[in-house]
Amino acid sequence: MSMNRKNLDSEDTKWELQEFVSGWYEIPAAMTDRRRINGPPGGSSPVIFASSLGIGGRSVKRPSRIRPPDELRKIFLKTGLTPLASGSAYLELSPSANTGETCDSLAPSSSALKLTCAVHGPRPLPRSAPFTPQIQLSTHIKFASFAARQRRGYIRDASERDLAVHLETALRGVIIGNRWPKSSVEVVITVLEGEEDRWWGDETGGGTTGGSAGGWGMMNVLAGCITVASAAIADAGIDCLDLVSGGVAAIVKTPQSQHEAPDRDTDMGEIGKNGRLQLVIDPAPSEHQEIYAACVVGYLSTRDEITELWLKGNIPGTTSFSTPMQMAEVGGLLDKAVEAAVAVRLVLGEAVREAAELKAGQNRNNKE
Amino acid sequence: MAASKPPSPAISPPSLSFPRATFAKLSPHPFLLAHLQPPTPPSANTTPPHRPNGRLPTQFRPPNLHTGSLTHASGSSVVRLGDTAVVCGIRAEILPASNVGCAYTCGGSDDDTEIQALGLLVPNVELSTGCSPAHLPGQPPSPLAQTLAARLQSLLYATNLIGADELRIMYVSPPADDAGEGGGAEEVKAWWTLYIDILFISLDGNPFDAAWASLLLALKDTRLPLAYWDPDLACVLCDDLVANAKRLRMRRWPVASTFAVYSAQERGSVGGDGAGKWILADPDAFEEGLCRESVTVVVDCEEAEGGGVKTRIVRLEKRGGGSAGKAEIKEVVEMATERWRVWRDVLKGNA
Amino acid sequence: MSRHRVVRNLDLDEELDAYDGDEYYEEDSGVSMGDGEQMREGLYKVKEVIGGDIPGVTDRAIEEALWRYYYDIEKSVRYLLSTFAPAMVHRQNSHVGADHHATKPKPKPKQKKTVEESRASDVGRASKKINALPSPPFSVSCSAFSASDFFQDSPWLNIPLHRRGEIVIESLYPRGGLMGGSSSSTGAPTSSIGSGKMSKLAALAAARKKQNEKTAGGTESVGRPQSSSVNLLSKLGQKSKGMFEAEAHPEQQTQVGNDRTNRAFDARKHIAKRRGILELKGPEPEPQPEVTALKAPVKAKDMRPEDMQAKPSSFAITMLGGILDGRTQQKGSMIDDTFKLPYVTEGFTNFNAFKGPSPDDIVTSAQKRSGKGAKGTKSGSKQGAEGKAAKQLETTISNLSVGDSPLRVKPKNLDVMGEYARANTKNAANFVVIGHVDAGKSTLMGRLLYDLKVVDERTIEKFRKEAGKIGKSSFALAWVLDQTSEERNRGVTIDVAINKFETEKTRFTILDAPGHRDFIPNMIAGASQADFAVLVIDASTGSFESGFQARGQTKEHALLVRSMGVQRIVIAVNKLDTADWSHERFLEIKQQTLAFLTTAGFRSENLSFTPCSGLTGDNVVRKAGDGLMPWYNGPTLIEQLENSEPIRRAVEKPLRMTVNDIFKGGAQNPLSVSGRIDSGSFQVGDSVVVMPSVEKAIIRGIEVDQEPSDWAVAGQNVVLHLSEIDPIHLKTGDVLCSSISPIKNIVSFTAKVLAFDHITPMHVDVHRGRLHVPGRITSLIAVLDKGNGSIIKKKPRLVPPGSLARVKIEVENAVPLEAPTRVILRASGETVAAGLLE
Repeated sequence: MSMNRKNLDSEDTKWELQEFVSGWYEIPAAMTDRRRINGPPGGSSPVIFASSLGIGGRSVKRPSRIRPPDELRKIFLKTGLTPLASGSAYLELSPSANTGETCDSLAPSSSALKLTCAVHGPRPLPRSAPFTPQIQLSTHIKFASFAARQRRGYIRDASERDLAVHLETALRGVIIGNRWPKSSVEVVITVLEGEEDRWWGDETGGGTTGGSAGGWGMMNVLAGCITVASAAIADAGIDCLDLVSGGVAAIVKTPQSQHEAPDRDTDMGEIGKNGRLQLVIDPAPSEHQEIYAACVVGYLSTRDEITELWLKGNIPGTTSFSTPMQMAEVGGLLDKAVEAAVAVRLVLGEAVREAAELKAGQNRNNKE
Repeated sequence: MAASKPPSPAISPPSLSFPRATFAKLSPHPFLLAHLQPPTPPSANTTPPHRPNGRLPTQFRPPNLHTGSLTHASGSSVVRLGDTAVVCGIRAEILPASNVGCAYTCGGSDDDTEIQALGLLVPNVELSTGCSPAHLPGQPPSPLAQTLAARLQSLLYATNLIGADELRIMYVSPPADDAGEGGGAEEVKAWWTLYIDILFISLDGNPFDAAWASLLLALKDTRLPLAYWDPDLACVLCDDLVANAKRLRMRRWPVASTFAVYSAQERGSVGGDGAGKWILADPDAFEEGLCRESVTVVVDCEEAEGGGVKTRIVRLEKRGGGSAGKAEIKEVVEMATERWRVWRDVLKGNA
Repeated sequence: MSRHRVVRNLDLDEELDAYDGDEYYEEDSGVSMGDGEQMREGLYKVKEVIGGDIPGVTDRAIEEALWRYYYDIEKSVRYLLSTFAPAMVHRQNSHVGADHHATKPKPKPKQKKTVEESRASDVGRASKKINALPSPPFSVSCSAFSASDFFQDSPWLNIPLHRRGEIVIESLYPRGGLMGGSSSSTGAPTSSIGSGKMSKLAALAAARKKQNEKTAGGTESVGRPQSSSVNLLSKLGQKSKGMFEAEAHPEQQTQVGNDRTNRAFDARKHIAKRRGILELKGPEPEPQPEVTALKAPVKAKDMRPEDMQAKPSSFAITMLGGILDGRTQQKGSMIDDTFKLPYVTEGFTNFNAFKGPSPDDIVTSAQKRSGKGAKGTKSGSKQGAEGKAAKQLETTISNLSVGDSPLRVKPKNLDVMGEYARANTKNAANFVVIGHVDAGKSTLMGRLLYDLKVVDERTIEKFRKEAGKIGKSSFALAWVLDQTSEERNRGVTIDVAINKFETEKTRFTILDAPGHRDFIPNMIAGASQADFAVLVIDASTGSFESGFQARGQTKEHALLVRSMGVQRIVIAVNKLDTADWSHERFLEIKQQTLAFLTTAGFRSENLSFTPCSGLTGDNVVRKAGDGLMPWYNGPTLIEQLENSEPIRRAVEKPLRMTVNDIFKGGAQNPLSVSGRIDSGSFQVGDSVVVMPSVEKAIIRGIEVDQEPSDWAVAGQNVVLHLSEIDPIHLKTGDVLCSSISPIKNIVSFTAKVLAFDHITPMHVDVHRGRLHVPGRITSLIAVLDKGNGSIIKKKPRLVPPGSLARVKIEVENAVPLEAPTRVILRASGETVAAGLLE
């Protein structure tokens, strides 16, 4: 599996291979991770909740979105969390409000995204490295082993590498690379708590997972990563064209029951007889039974430029993106995602601004 | 728009003197010494010598902690000591008896051995979160990370905080219908395995104390769901009601405190006695870099009647040098006891 | 024109509907492209363009609204239609009027139509348009306007005013944005959806306008601009004041502004329009209204940051600690920020780096002392920890945690020195056998072993037969030592063969080094372990000379063993039987060799010459057959060997052992290493550090001469069974050393070398026993006098062969070396120099 990683980022592949030979690769039981403390040799199994199997009297009900479709979850963003790093930031999405009925469960249905990001550099490349006119940007995204409902491994898996590549494309265009030739910067993001791909009740039956393309939760995580990374980069004082902010929008199915008077902005017509297609920004996957399509953008709002665009999914009833109808919907989706990014940008701007003011204040203190 | 780091003050200082940052970079050892050495001649305002980070030599960083904030972890905690921030998450998984090679017979007697033999506590330390420039991701765990994990585990087992019965999942087979006997036999169907993952968000010295504290807090916060053996599915099911979940009961509360021994002899010449030496509690990265000798004391106290506490030294680790003698160790243990009090109070406030 | 469109749309089913929708949207995006031209025409008569176009624009908007609605959901279409019909009429006539204002009214609709028809079937056009869109605006904005762009737009004329802004704003963006400036990816779809939504609102406005009289409309026009401007303000927080004014003012005077305002729903489009107007009309500073606007609580609520910022969760508060409330640790703020220079303020006088011995002295002295006693050890470790303290801390910790591990071997805590003293060891001697290829070294040794009954008759017989088979019967004895088939077939020794034999006095270990030049490294490996050397010289006519000429190995070997620290050489003048034991030959060889060896730096009293014949065995163990050598009555070869004075061992020194071989010593010993203890001693249970990989290992078992032992001391060839170390950390040439005073890994060192060949700053292989690493001579420091080592010439450009020189050497990766160590420098398969590390 280190093969298909090779095309993602090479210098990591090197490590992969090294990890592989040095035998601390952990997935196969055969080669145990010598550099970590391993669990029982027999291997342990994750917890199975009776209620998720439908056994036992009580069944848990799916949380539902009570935010208006064009409202984001509240964001907390703060820089300077890791003083030893040249730049760092912490981002947290407040869990959506509807935790009321599930709070008595050990498996709460709503999780709050928690990201920490540290930026190291710009630092000179080793003498041996070939000359590079641009700064060398390398991004690492790692889920903590307790970040998701299933325990994550210690070695970055394909999805994490995929995210890292997405993030890199989002950032590379923003950093003014040619101001640091022969130097490198590392962006390290740790996902303390991730977004779920679906409501956990669906894991045993029903619900869409986002299919083979990977979970929908990943898209929220990516948007968060973009935002927190640009905050950290700003904190590190690396020159950028603009603050890039990440926004997510999705086309979801909402039960007819909710909002009888469909919002003109977001309503996209009926699907089936008891559901409507709806455009929502910042979707929390666990809140929606069906997510048909979602879109992440890394967006420079003052320049109106998009550095990263990740669009996936499909609208039921139509097959390809070629028909105009579909085209228009993609447009709408994009628009919403950008709208979300613009909103996030404000929080981002705030965070960076107050950090800057703080530092300015400190400088003044140092001067006196 | 990008906020820039504060540059070291560019104002040209008077001759023969450095701005702080420059001095620290240029010659760290004298820098630290300059702070620790009482000003000579003793100036009018006799402020006790401070460390560069503004603390007294024997002053710890105030603990700053919170538990149970991670959704997907059975127990979690975040601890911040100054600029060292640690997140610890515990994931409880089920180790079916079928997966245990030797049919393990559990008597109440061999608690600790049982946990250790089965390896039910799996602590791991993750340093490559960009927590400090020294540890970058994409690389196997650094020696520091490995040794930390090893020390944590050994300490866990040594102190046996948790009784094995806490982690057992028993099953009482229903009595055979006709005769009462034949049933009621209680057997262990599975054990809880606690995967303890400690992430360093920010590392500014003294990783062990922070890690250990976060580990304890996370354990304390851990809630194991009510688990029962389902004979039909032949597997262990859990009830997700918080009400039925039981918190992990911890027998004691050992507190680790680390001290660095700093001697004025930069190169530690033959007899290190001539110059003074200081014991710096809870050293930060800068100080750790300058001190070769360090002592870690793990104490576990009980309130004795009459307000006093009875100190029990659980573990005493001393590394890299011999300048700290009996007296110093004694002093260190005293301070460790104090530290234990602090933690106790914090926990009282927290819980 | 759009009248019939309306009619058509009424009875259209879904997908044709969608189809149409796109058509229009295709069209008016075209229109928006044409805007550039219209604008240029209008630019000098801005004022009345505005005045004139106002009604036209609104109508256009409504008209669009209609199309959009079809293109949107059916229900809403009907709903709008009801409100629409009257507006339609109004639009119709005023449309004409509006067109009259514009410069070329008639052709436009036609062109539009044709375009529609022509493109009606084109499916991919949407995308095409997307690509087309950004470029013209760029050319428009980037002041230089190119005719080609102009004509590219030409079919799309008659632009609704409200589209202009978009163009101009797009054009304001810098060219060549990332991913095509993204206006391609966002702009177009945006415009499609966007205009749709705008027009929706516009239609609403129109409907209301019908019902309410002007005043009401007026109030609205007051109300809505505020909303818009608020949108603006909040959305682009970073925009400049002037921008705001420009953005804010237009709403005030006209319906245009009014409608436009209502439509505003997206930051980007909004900016767009405002900027567009700004472009057209130039700034009319009027800050007043948007001040009031600020207060208007409209849909902009979710666009103010404080609304979107969450309060930090308690988790965040804890994790961020002081940083949260801006109280980052102001390090030692209570102390003044500047410091006196150290060493001048007497605060530092007691602290003087140059007081006391220099660090290196300390290290060496500490290592000297660390051999004995715990006290020495402590300080030793303290010194050892010099340099990168942090790393040292780690290693110490790791040692500690290893110590904790359960499967630790209990040390017996023997007093090794005592054991060693007590053990009545015969003095053991390792000697290396050297000499020119085919000098008969192996045969001679074979004979030695054979006559000492180390190998029994049968094996020799066997060898004889086999050798006979391949027609090399004379090699039979050599095969005692040359064991691999290759060695036997080639008839040369390749690897160092180790054999043992005992006399009543001494226990010998033979290191039979290969003579052939290809295997010099092995020869070095052998020599590095030898106490003395047996130089075998082929006495047969011709071959002695061949061995002794410039490139013969006799000389090279002699120099090598010399530089490997071998002091004493027993010269066995072999094959003298072929020279029918002539005394002259012996003397000739003797004096030639003696002359050479003395020049090579051997002291003559350490040289002893013995005539013998390995093949016949005369004067090897038994005295020569009578009558063969009447002229010789000296000792036999074996007696010569025994005469070699016992070698005192460096048992007191800290442990050093070069790993000679790594293998799997059986099931219970997964990892074993063999080698000779250079100095120091150890016992079972000791922990050793493997250099250069600073890895810890525990000694589980020791074998000395194939017998298990509890301890071993310098000079013994031992097999160690290690545990708790990963094999990847071990390789031949590594050095096992005591964790108390570990050997340092160095990358550069100076060495005093004896040059065998011309030395210039060049690439060399540095050999030390089995260890060999590529490196290079960085500088030639001086040429020294052979006799007293005084400097003859500083910084020579090259060092001639045979002269002594001090050179600086850098190796590519750190190797465990410490003074005094013998190193060999080889280049292109030849030994160019050998010497002593300083």
